[in-house]
Amino acid sequence: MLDRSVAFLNAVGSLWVLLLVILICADSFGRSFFNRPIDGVTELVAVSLAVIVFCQLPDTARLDRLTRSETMLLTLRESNTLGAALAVIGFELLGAAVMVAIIVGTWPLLVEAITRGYYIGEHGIFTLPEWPLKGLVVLGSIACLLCFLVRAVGHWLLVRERRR
Amino acid sequence: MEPFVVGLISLILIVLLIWTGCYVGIALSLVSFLGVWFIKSDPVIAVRMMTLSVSDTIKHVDYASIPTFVMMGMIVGKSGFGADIYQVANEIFRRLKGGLGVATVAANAAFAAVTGSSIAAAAVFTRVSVPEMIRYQYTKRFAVGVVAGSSVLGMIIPPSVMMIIYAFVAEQSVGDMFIAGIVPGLLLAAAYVGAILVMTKLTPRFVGLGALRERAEPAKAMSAGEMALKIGPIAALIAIVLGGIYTGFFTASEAGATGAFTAYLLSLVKRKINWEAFKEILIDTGHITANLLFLIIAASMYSRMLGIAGLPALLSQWLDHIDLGFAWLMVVYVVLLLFLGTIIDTGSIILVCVPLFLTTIENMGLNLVWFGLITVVGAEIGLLTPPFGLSCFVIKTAINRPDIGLNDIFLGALPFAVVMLGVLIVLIIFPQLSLVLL
Repeated sequence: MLDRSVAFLNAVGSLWVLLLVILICADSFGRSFFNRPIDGVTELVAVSLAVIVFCQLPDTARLDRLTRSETMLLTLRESNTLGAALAVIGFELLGAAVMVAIIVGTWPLLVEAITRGYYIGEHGIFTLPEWPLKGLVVLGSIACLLCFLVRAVGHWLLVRERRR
Repeated sequence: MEPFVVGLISLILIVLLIWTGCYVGIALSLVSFLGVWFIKSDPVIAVRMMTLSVSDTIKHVDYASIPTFVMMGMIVGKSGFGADIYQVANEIFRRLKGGLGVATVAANAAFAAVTGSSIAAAAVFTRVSVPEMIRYQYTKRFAVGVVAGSSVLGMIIPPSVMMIIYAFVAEQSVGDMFIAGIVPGLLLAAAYVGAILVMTKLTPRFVGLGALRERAEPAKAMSAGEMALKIGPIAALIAIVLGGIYTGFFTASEAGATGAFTAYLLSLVKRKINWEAFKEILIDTGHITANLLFLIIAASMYSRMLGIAGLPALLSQWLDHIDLGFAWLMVVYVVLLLFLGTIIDTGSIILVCVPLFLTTIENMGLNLVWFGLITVVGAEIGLLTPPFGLSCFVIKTAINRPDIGLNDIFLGALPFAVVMLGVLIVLIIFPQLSLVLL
């Protein structure tokens, strides 16, 4: 269930990236050859990026594709399997802690964006309500938090299994 | 506790965490968060800093250059353009002693001009060029060494993901960084070619006896038209991307987007990318982008923390006080880069070192674009050195042969790491090399 929602969120992010690539191309063609850029592309791209990151971060974490240096862990695993496993679990929990801080910080902004009806862009040319963007960041960080926790539990179960 | 003591402890903690295997982005952001909390004794300020970094750091259209260039690189990597360019280079250097090695470097240099990652280059050329060299009786060590060494070109010849990362951390223009990378990249490629020719002459045992023999003429020589057809796509991409940036026609992110779009059209002609492969490219692009942009967000928290702790200013004052001078500063900095290269990856080195030294370099009146080149080249040497030589690991995985061990790859790459260090020293002594095209 978590896997599928995370993969879905990731697909949303991927298509969004594709859309940005097409929009940037179209904008630059329009500007260069017809002297007519597309209104709002620059603003849209700028506010999209953070949202895309948090759409795709959970899947990246789930598939263990976040940058880390594994040399020490691999060496440790040979001499002290339990120690290495505990370190890995610890690092997943640190990841979870960061996500909690991000959620705690972004949540009030989401509430504010909804209650005050904030929007992005210039009035009359291009506007976009802000709450879906903030909402996706919160949703992505929650999904990411869950992914870190699931991975920690998974490693813990492996340790217990090996001890039997 | 004094703020700078907290900063110093945080710095040590970050390096320790990354070294022991913590996610780099998590280590940077969590320790910075705690550092700010300690210095200000207020968790609310720490949370606000974290939130601000998340929402504001990458809120600019320039950051779109990361997904666009990554996508372009993925498409080029999967379209078989690498193999094409290698065949042409092979044909050109057929008569040269050590020609297959030279061809690998040349093809890599061209490939590097359309992709931003050494990883892609290492994976592609392990598949196309190592078997060819072994078939012609070059030693396995030399074959994998050449591929490892020249894969580094991927991140030095623009476009380069590492230069984009530096540009953001140091607040420089991505386009300037790219243009500054052209001459140093070509210089490194030329130095590699020189080294291969010298090694073929002086230590033929290391290169392999096959390098001395002339290769048999193929049944049918490649015609000029055929060559043009094979080089065409890459030449077109280079013209669009680098030409576009150089003439100021495109911003960095526009160049990336147009490059990705053009690469896709060209790959359609080659019919290498079907719907499945395209889906994979999109998903991979997403993962790499999320990872890199999250690293940049985390690095901005880290540099905010350093700033609050006052560490960069303090370092600058201290270095000024002990009157270190330019030459020794560079020695210390390069040794630091090389040392970190043995424990952490290139991107993390840039993210950890640059915010710390930026104030010093600025106060000394040195050029920050040049400093970026030095940082990227210096940190990239770590790709070739054990124990964390990423390029070597990629080759080991891609080649998947029990008779070629990781130590063979490291030993083979060693001469190229030495050449790279030599080029780095030249770049430090002659900043004009990096700045001439700007």
